[in-house]
Amino acid sequence: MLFSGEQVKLRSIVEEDLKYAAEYMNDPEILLLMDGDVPLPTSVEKQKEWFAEYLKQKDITKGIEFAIETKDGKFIGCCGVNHMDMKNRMAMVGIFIGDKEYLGRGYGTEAMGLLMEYLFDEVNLNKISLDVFSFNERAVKSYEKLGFRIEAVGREAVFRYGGYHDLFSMGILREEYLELCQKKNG
Amino acid sequence: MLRGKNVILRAIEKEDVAKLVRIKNEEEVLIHLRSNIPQPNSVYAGELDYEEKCKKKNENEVEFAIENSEGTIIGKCGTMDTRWKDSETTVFIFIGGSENRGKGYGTEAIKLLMDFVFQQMNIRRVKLYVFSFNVRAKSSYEKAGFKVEGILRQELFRNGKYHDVIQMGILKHEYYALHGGGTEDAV
Repeated sequence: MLFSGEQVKLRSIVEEDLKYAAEYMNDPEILLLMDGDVPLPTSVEKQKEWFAEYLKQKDITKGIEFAIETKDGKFIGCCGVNHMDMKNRMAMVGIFIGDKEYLGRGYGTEAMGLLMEYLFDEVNLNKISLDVFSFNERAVKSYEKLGFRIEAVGREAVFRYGGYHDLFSMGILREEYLELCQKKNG
Repeated sequence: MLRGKNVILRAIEKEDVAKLVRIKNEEEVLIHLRSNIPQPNSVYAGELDYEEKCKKKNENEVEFAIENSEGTIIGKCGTMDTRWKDSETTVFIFIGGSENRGKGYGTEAIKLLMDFVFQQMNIRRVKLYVFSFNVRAKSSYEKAGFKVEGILRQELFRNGKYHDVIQMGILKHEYYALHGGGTEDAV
């Protein structure tokens, strides 16, 4: 069902989530896997500022964010679209699970699956892309399980932990997604 | 000003804007340059963009007009999306006029630009994207030393169907190993 799986659902972010989000993002183990920017500590204040801007944003091509919530109502992370190109029908997506209790247990994979279902079945995209650090093996495995393939390797494109690392660009096409759905359903 | 054998890279003057817009509107350039809707650009919009850019002085973007030895502006090249932490930038180039193609102008301009990026901007990795049907540009980038790093499948809709986008990249030490020169700390 739209936005709802067995273990998690995707919902709107609410102000109550922000203090947990700030806590998650201040954990270096989470922060250093989230994105390629210069890692900075965050605060609830900063998250509120971001959230106020996000609420004003009416252009969905500039970003869509979902809270990931477990079936017992716990906010564990976020996923969404960083950038969407409607003419070429593609989106760049991202996800993080901030509560480490829920890592490696399929929560993130299911949430990303829900996001894919939304983007292919309701937004009518042809392709979903994402970038992932080569050292984030857990994430790469999860994306491969969902049908993403490594399409490009940006050699030494990311500086982190004192050295340069490869950046993987992964993608899945609509036709591949539909084939996977058919296999799953019978 | 960056001076090569057959081309120079120089600042874009206000008088160049109209000429650059006309070059960008050539079909050969329009379909190969950007992935957005390929509608022709107006000179007025080009002038507004130019003024915006002059005011902003964005250090993440460097732009040069490409001029041939007769002093005619033939195109533009530059960098965008510079990621200082990762020491990486993305480059672009376009050259107009069928009479200017196949003469090595583009290859020479790219080399001048790369040398500038490595020697003046303190960048160690350069990447670019080229559409799969732009065979000439791809081979020119390969000549400059870029390696294909991957094929981004079906990321461009153009002329009725989806096309792949090729990602290419080169590291500073690879560039100077191929072309010579550079500094001692090239790695």
